[in-house]
Amino acid sequence: MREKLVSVEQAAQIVKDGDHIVFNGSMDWTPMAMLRELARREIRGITALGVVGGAMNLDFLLGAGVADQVETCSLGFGEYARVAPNYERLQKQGRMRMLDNT
Amino acid sequence: MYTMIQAGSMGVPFTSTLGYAGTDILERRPEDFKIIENPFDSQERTVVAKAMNPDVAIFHGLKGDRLGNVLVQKHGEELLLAQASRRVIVTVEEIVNSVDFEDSDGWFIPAIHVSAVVHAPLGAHPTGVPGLYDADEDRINEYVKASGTDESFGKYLNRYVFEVGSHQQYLELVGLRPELEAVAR
Repeated sequence: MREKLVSVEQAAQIVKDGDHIVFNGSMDWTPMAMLRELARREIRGITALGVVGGAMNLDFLLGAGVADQVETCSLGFGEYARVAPNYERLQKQGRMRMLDNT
Repeated sequence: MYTMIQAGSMGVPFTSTLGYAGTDILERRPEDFKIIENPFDSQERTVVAKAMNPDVAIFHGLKGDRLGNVLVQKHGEELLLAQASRRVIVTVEEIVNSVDFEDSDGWFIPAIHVSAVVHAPLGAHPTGVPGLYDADEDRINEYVKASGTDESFGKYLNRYVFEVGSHQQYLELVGLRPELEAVAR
């Protein structure tokens, strides 16, 4: 049987520049430890998918410069902000691409 | 989008769906969406959307074992996302000897759909895990405030990402100790 238990650092090596990464839509359960490691490794060119919807998962990757494109139906921020804040700033400045997909 | 992931999870090339009819998505993204004739009824047309098979799925769950079996939140989309994606990373609160597929704390995903299991206690912080720990509202508000400019979010990233070398160091920085925080276990 293959051993699949690895460190955060080892798991991050599974992710390559330009990958499409999918997340679930909730603000709870955001895999932040993993996302911080992707930022630390300076992964770039990611398209982040939110099914259904996105929150801090997609917003953090945009803010950290890891993702430059997102595809989802909504990008909120729980009760903390009306719109995910890094997304709002980068979208208004035309520095990212959003694909609307219900 | 959900049906596109469903198609990807089933290994079929596209899904027939009416959800996009009448929207400009059909014109803007002809590489992903088309209108075709119903092969069973030439009088009818339908929207078809390309299946999605993401390179990677990443999510946080409750329990995992060395073989790659995991237990994730109930009523979520994790199993579908795992089935559709080429590589799957699951961070978990706890490593157990063997995840029981009948464990009623969550929903089971078998190892065949999982590439890597990572032990990351409090790994969702500053967001929460219902039943285990609450969201850290102060630190989420700090994130929102920092997101106003490149400069302030850069400072946030330096403090919480680049100046900490590991998840363990992050937990020390925010003053959390897994054995004390996960009280509801």
